Amino acid sequence: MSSSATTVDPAEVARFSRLSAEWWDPAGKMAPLHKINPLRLTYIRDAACRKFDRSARSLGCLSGLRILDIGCGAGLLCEPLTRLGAQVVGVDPSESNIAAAKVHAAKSELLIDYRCTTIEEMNRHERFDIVLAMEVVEHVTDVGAFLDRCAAMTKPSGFMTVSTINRTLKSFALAIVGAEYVLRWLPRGTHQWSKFVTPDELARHLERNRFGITDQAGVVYSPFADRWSVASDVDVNYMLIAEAV
Amino acid sequence: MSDHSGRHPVQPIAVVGGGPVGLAAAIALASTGENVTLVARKVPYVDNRTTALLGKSIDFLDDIGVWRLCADKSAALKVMRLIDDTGRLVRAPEVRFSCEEIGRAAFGYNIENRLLIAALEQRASECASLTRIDDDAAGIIPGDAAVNVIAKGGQQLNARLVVGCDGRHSLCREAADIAVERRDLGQTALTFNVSHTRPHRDTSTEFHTPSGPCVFVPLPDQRCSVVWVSRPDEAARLSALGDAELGRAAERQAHSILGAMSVEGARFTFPLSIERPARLAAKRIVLAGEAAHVIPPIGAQGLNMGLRDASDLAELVAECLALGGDPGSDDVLAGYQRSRGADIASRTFAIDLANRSLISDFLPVQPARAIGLGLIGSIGPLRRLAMREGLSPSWRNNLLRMM
Repeated sequence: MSSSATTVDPAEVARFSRLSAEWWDPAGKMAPLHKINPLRLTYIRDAACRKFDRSARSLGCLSGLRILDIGCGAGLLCEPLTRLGAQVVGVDPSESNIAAAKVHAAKSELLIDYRCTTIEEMNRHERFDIVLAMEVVEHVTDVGAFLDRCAAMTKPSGFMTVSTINRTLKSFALAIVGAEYVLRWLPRGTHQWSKFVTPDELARHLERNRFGITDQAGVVYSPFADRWSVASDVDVNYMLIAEAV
Repeated sequence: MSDHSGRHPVQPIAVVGGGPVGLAAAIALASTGENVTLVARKVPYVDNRTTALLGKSIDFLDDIGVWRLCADKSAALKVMRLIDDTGRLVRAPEVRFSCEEIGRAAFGYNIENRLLIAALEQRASECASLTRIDDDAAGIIPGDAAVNVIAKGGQQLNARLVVGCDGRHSLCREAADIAVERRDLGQTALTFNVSHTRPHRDTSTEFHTPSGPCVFVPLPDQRCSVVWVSRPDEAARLSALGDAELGRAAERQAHSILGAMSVEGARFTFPLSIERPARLAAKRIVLAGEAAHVIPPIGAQGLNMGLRDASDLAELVAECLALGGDPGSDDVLAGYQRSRGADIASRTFAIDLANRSLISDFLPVQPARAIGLGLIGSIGPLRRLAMREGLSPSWRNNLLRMM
């Protein structure tokens, strides 16, 4: 009704609304991500509350913290982190992901700084209390350079959370054969096993930046309960916290 | 797809309806620290119904700071007797449950609804994060990102989650487009309170008559609340009696075990029905209390079920908020359906069956009921199981944890 002087293409808006709905549908294409999201959030929230001396049970427990979410997709982590009080910057190289994230954040009435960019292109002087690299290192071309940038943008008082898939025989069987071919949770070709990263490799890259791994947890799937949980087994999916030492 | 969320600020949670379940839900949800708006007009509670609060209900009311405000106005229920008064060929033996058998101080506590509501109202007014709109809801319009709630006086708000505690003719249920299956039972409950000349010894007695159960539930002092279920014409006849005559009729029905009875205050009649909505949640709206289940007043399950609705919902919402979630998201709605669906369905079925077998003149049903009650009555472990499950079903917690 009030579209007199706009350059917005309604077809584009409709496309991003659809894409955003796809991302945010707990039973849709992103179902696996929705299933592990509570675990990732709990892990990040609890690490933040330990580090910054907050109570995880109080609403707004992350208030005042600046968080960078690299590879944010449509904002599945950005939105809840914002509701917990954090100021979140979400970056993603995909323009359509960022557009979908913006559409959803507007509906949720959340202020989130979404940017279509990569960490390499960001202003190298920006600093964050928490830098998240969730499910991204297995997709980057140079893990070392990527982690160097992450470390540089983490405040000395802050921490980094990395989650990824280990390079083991078990991960080949489960993450590639199982998830992509048997269960078809993910499109074939989503992952290349050779690009998976072991915790030791991450540790070496982080050490070079004077970061140490202070916590490590496996994320395991139990097929009978159809449920993900945190465990000590880091053979397939794992998350870790790295802090400046 | 109309979205009305633009014009008014979006609140996280609104509760519609100010009965005991609405008040309890609002208090429990507000205790998460999140802002809750209660849309309900304050009205004086008119009827004289009482509620036997069982097991977990007491724990829940204690948790939300309500029980301490009304505990002294309640009467403990320590013994429950079920007496077959059907005058049929095959009668069930008397069943007597004592709370000592399951190591509890009492099965529950009977309290007049108006006193319970007064305590809930007092607690609600103390909650810092609870705002009240003292008006009835006139319109509920679901939107993609929030639900628009319009009060009769024109006041409006948008909420991520709306909790419909607005009773049998729930506006929220209609707005969520949830169909309801309703069956009239052809029975009417007459309720009134009596004082009596003999002590009740903390014993609730349920007489099972061919037309329905008649229950005497202890109140403080030598008083009882009476729920007398019968055919509508009989209920109308009883209801029209003078106090003295109704007192005599009640004494006769109770076989004088409580001595002479005198009727206190007014009496009310409620046609009995069973109502089951097709779902318990949709479109950012969840249903609780009688909006979610209407069952006959047998075994004091109705309001206890409603309080479990409130308690489970508050727990789910607290978990959601602790992870920065949207309280009206599909995750929360699906979790509520999972946790409440089975409890409500199984209880509605059990109460329906118990009620039907009592009024059925179909002979084979009678021995079956006689044997059923006889078995439960005579086998220790079964008795204890029946008692414990009646108080708080054990599998509920497992279900909640499976989320």
